[in-house]
Amino acid sequence: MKKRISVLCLAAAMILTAFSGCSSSDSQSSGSAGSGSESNNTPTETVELEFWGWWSSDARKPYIQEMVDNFNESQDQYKVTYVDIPFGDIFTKNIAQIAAGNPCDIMANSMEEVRFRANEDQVEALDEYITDDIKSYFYDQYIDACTGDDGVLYAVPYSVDTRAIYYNKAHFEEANVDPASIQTWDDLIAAADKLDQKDGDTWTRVGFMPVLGNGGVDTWMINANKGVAWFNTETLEPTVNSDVNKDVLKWIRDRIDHYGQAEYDNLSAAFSSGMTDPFASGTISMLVHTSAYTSSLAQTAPDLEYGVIPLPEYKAGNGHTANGGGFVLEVPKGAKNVAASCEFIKYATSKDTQDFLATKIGDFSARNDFDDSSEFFQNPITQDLAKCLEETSTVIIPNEIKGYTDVINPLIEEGTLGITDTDTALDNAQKAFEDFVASK
Amino acid sequence: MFSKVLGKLGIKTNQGRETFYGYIFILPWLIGLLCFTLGPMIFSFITSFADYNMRSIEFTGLDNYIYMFTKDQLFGKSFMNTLVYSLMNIPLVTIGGVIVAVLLNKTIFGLRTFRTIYYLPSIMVGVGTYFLWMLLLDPANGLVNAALSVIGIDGPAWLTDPNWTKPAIVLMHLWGLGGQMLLYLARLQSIPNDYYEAASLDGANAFHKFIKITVPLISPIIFYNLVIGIIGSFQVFQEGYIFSGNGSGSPAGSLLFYNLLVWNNAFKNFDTGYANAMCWFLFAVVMILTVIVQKSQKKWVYYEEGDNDD
Repeated sequence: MKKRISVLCLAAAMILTAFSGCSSSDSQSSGSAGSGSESNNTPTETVELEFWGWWSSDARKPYIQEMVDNFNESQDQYKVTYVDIPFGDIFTKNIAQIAAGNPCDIMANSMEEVRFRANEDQVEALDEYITDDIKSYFYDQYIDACTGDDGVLYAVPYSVDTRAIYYNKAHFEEANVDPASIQTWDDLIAAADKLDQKDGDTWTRVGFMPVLGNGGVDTWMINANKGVAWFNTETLEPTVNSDVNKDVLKWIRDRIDHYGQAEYDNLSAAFSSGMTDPFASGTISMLVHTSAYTSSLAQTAPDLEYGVIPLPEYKAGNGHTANGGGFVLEVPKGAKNVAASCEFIKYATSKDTQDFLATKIGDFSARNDFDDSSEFFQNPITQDLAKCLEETSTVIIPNEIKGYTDVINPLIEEGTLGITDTDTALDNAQKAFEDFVASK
Repeated sequence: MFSKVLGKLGIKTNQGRETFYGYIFILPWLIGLLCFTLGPMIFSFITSFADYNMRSIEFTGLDNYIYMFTKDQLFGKSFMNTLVYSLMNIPLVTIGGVIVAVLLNKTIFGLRTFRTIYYLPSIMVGVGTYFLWMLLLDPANGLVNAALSVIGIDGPAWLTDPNWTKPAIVLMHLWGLGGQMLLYLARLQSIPNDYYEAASLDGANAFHKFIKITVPLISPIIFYNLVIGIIGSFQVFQEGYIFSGNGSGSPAGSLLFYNLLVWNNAFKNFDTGYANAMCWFLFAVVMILTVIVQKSQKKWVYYEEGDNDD
């Protein structure tokens, strides 16, 4: 009998424990962490907030955590907890939490799709808390990217990036190439030819291949078109097979042919697996990459002597346009305390915090009130990248044609890989884009 | 004790008891289905007829299904990618499993070690395995091409050449066929030696014995693996997601599998209602194939008890 009673007690305890696990976590995310219901709404109430990001590497997480700790110590109204979730999971978790009505309080997300998320009702409007004077500290193009079609601000720029050509200084000296002489695409190819080295049929050094690293077909299209390449920004009509685009894709394919498809496959696979970096190991002399590549090189090749030059001009006078993007901080729809979340966002995007993050992590800020006195900008590489940032185009895909890249990219890639000739690939992509628009 | 309970429930015949025990055994699965799966399934079916983005639902009738069959340019491509992959993967993994199991059923030195080695990959799952295979399939420095070069074959660019991406994934799955092998092996061990001895006396050679004795006796396991293989192959997702790097299905859309397109629609474009419609079409296809295989088993699956009913 006693045994049965103890079994029943155990079962009841298990059921109670299970149900307590299912209880609402509202009290943790926004309620009082203080001394019970009597203290609710008192000035001493501490609001607990969750900040979701994907930065988990040793190069980043300690500094994000330090920034969060500094915020928590700077005041006693809010307590932020940083939660790092893998990049492959964080966005699905975020939308699932929003759909369930229990999102995190502050979310890091991509700048390019703020407008899309606003349109899909996934983010809170921040106009009430992020006032015009705060907005004025950021470059207009980034605030514009954070603004919805309805003119309301939905996010605050957190970090931005650009693309540039990283070059191996030792290779340049050996081949007697002056980086300042690379101003146009023709100059780039002339330099690459000087840097190339071959042993019989095997390339021992590759001067430059356009679509490796973090530079894709898009990078060169945007550079040549001085911005958006695939559609007319006003009419949204597809312009995939324009003469300029055909010229650009042929140039890219010619460069791959110069080295051979096998060499491209080998280098491309090396970058994909992430185990080796042909630029860090000295196999490639020049590589297109984002401004964040510096922190990666600091870890993988701390002794590598490298410099940075802007993407060259398609034709002289065309401009050094690079494609870039960035990340924002936003408040997911349904977050319990938008005002409190905005207090943290304001802190994380303030000049002092942005200076701290830039110096420690190497990311650029979207703020316009930095000058050379900042420690971060003392670094010559940073100064060169900052010049590239001035000619950076952040492409925001209009909501009306969202998803078109899924349709055209495989067809364009057929041209890049030499499966179809480049003009036909772009003609096919143009037709696919037109059909896509018609089907909407 | 149990028989008293069953008696009180009015279950007195042996068959009734068997049925009751059957339900007890599937109870954990049934509870899981009712508590966690059935609700989302019904919701997914309802929203497949709606413009649903996880924030709002607007019913649009059959629009999602019409768009799928008439306007979506990626639907056909992703379905064909999945079909081609399945046609390569299912037979090769099934035949490979049988062959390895038969080989490991022989009495040879170090048999247990070989069985362990062959089984080991099937318990290594997850993203790590895919990254491991990215290294093995590296065209310049990978072990696979290094092995091929020993026999004079210039290996392909497995994951950058669109023609070789699907064979690369099949190759990876062949490496992990230990799970299937174990099932075949368990069945092979229960085949009495008398059958083979009797066949030998009748003059049957090894091939005849394999075709006439081994294959029929392991056919229930082949049938089971075939059904599971069809379901698994049509649900291929991770391989395309990881190997293409960004979920785009590159190179040149060759890894854009059906479920990857579903994922992109649901979580990148937030056309979740449309993604649900795609899921239900896939469900219908897999169900039809499963029923066909189920019906065909009467012609080729041998049950020793002589009970070939469903």
